[in-house]
Amino acid sequence: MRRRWTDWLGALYAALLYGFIFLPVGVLVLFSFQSGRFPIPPFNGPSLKWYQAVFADSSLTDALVNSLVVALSSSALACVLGFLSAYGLARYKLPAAGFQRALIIAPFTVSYLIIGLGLLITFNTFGVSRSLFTVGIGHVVINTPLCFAIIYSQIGDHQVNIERAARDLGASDLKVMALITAPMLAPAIAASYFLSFTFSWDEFIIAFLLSRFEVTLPVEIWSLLRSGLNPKTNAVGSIVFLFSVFILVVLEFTVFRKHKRN
Amino acid sequence: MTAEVTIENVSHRFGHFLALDGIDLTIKAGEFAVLLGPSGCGKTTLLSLLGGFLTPTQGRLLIGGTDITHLPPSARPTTTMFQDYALFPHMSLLDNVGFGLRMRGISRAERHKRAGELLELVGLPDVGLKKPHELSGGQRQRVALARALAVEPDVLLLDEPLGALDLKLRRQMQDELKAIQRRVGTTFIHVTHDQEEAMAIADLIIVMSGGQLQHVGKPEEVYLRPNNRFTAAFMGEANFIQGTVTKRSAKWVEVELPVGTRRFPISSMINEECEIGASIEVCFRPEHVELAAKTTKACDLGQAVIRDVAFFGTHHRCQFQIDAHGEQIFIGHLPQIFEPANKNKLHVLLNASDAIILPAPGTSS
Repeated sequence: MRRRWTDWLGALYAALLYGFIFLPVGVLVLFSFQSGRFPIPPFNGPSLKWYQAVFADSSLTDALVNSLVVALSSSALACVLGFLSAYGLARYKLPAAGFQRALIIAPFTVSYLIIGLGLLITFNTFGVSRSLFTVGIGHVVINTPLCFAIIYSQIGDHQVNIERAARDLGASDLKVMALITAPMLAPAIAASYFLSFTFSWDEFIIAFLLSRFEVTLPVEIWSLLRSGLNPKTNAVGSIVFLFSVFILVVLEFTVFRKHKRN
Repeated sequence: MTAEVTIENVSHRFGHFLALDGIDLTIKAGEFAVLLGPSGCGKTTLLSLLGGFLTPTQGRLLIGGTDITHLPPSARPTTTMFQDYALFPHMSLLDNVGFGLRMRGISRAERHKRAGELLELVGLPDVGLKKPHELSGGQRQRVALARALAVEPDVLLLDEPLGALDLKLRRQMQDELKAIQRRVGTTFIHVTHDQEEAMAIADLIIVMSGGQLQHVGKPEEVYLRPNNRFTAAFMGEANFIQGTVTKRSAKWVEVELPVGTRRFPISSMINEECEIGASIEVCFRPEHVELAAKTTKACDLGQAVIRDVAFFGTHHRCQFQIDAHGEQIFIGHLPQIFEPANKNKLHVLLNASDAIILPAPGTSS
């Protein structure tokens, strides 16, 4: 009897917990199908007219494309930099290796606001005008430590002999890295790429500080919100959410599954 | 493809530790050489020097007469088969075996053809498209061998390749390794700490200890006529009796042992310069112990007491104490069918021509 009672309590707790996490998302998605003018109860619909409005609004679709471009390219660069620094620190004896490692990870602990402001001041000093390019650089700065940490954790001594075998069979250092080390670390590299992508995809503060005419989606949504609540914002939000879910599913089915098998 | 390996006065230090101390050694082209010794004897260091993963502190290494001391591994006519196989986990077996050919710019079709042939040579046909994780330990080992042979090295270096296999598989792989070596003719240099493995596969055994060569010779020589106490004890179980040379002629030598004066043929002496009065050790293997005199050259060791007997299938391994020697335990292999007549008393003998006489430890050899 007692066991059943605690089970019930546990289920209630789980329901509350998941409700707390997902209710806002659920409400957001639900009211994106609202057919009235306000995303508030009562719900009357469903209707796809706000999705239609999103795709008819060129500033929103432009922002969506901008976000994609920034996320895809900045994550790729962050991965390359993260991999190279992890490889260097794992395979070579460098002066003050511990300090250098700490220095790479340091941006992790600094708030995005500080990084954004710092970059803004730097770009102003050197006369670099704000654009999608500067936003991308900002995202590389915040994501490189992440890529480094993930990849570095997976580089171990167990791969040293394998790299040595490749060198013994005639591979140059560059070929060892490209044909042996990187493919062996593919799961870690892919995981860090997708994580960087999602971080870049919904990052607001740096994108806001470092962009000017071309903006990313979070910045566009923010300016949309300033003109008041509107089911269109719900529709955009739902699209962003759908995208994140898609990446998560891809990640689950490719990278993590492969990881388990090995 | 095969070549002679010459090691000239090679020493190697790790910080203050002298891992190799003035090694001079020549391995003939096409020979199957085994570096044998306990862990820390320097055998793996020597192999790493040959492979190019370390550079010697002093000395020269030559392969086929060419100085390779300062060449990187990729530029040497050697390949190494690693202890953990070090296969490329993300590549198919064909790509693993063909990797060295790929680095030499050989087309995909051709290297796959060659890789297929090599997989067949090592007894793994039709598995080319599998990945290393789908194979058993013994199969991975064969793939590693095929990969190392694919680039037709002059010298193949094998770093304890059989260490991770179970006993039965290890014996089987030893035979195959030797057969493959005969077929390809490449000089093999194999590192192991297992003296049975060494004797089973080697043309030349190089016994090492403390960074120095102890004995270089054929398996029979190293086992039957070891030239020092370390080699004698390392190659298998051995019994030692201390004594002194009392008389010698051109044909025999007389030695004073605790049990009395015994005569041995002069050929038993490893170092024939031993003078009268020199301290020596008579060394004999357990299988040389006999219970009844078969020849006139028998050397009587006197009465003994059995301390322990264990049955090993082919023989009884017996630990006994000889009355004249007090507490010292001797080991003898007694016949498969063996009933001690007088409870646990024995009368042990030795065929004098089976024993060898070594200079006593501490005396100059």
